[in-house]
Amino acid sequence: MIANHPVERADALVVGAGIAGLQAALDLADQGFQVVIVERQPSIGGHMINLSKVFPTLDCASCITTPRMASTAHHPNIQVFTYSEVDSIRPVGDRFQATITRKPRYIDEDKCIGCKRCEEACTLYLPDEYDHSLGAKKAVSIPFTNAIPQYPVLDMDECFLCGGCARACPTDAIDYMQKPETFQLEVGAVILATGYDMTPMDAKSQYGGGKLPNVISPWQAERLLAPHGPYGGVLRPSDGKIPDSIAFVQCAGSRDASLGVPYCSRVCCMYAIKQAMLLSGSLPIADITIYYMDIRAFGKGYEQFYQSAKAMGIEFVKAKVGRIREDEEHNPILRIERQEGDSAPEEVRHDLVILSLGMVPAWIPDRDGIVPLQTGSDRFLLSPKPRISPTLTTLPGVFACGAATGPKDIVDTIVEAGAAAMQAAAHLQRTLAGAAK
Amino acid sequence: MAEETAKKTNRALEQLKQLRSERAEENKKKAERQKEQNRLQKAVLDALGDGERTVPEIAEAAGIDTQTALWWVTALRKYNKVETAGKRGDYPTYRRK
Repeated sequence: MIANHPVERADALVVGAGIAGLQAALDLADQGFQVVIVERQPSIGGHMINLSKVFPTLDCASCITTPRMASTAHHPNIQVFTYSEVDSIRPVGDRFQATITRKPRYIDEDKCIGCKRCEEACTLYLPDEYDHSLGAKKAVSIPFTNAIPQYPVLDMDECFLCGGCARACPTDAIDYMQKPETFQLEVGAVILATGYDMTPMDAKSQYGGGKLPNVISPWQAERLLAPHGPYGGVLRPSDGKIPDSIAFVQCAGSRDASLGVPYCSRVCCMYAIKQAMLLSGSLPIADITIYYMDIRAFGKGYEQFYQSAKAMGIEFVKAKVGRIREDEEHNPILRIERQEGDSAPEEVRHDLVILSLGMVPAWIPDRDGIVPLQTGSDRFLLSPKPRISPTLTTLPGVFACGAATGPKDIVDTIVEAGAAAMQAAAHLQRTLAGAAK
Repeated sequence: MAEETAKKTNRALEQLKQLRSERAEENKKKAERQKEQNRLQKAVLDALGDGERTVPEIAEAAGIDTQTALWWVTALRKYNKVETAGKRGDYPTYRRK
């Protein structure tokens, strides 16, 4: 259930409501445990609800995520706090005391009916984070169509106080003076499903990310490919042209010690191949090129997926991209050095370039003293038994799953979430049995 | 019920009054930005007129850059003021709704 009021006690706390957090919470709740989920975004669903399709099956991402979001939101054993932050988690005996802050939406959730009249009345347009700034939203808006819960967030930093939303709201739910609300929660186990972020677009300045309008992130590419994407099709951001030549630059944020990301992010090859195949479907006559160092197609069905992409006519060029500049029409020009055949540097012009960014942890709990846990040299959560119990952390009773422990794909994330739920359930049973003695 | 609603609306308006006085300077800048947004929005809608235009055509008619024109077309499309009409060359065309 969507929680609008503080809860004092539960069996387990799940931090993060992406696909890992949703799966872990459902697996625990289905066993009869009382679960609280804390999600920092205004909606549950994580990154996955933003994706167009998943590899290697090309299933609709929303069709997999939305039922889990709905099951979580309606589960009698789950309380969901969205737009909330975990300030600290401290062990107290064999239990944990969590401090949680609910951020102000400037909406009274008890009164809001999600009618969107405030959004219709608002006149201020802002870049939409959900569309990774390709599209627009209003200063008061529900994050996206199938967001759960359907509460808008009013951006008081941007609002110029015209009062239009308050006048339009039929239930007087606008509260301009709402304050953050902090509460304490006692739980027996914690699952950290805090997910990943991507390396910043401008991390490699020589690629022009964040400066050149037609050099975009993989998240932006996902939104272009989504059925309800910002442009209603695949267009390039500089001028709305349908691109005829699209390139992917692999390892644009991974396997690069200079970025502090020496590891392989494991999913970039596959998401680039997936996006290339989807682009090929949307723009059948477009030339699509993937510049790569190695293709790592390690999972079940991944190699076949890669071979299918080649058979579709997607060009794989083993080359290093040195830098990207643009011409006067904002066409990105890549300076490449081929790793096979003639290795003389050459320049290649494309209409649109997608940088395959790497994965980094979204939340580093030991950095800010939130949870006394150890992280690895890659800053992901460290398991003391990574081979046999990857969901354990260095604090008994705190478990981790999904991309919080390292880069991984959706399949591995869901499997690990189930494992974390089972470990947490066993821990809860042990501590309950100990207390009974 | 109606009385209670009226009272609550008054409370929201009281809150606004207080915030407007507290944030007067900051709000002046924000109001200027809103005016600029209104100008750009009108320029894009005027550029569309009664016809179908591509983003570069809208940009030229409105006297703005193509990236800004696309952002506004995207915003107005999302909020049902503009719709995709067809295609001309490598560009989709848009019209007012």
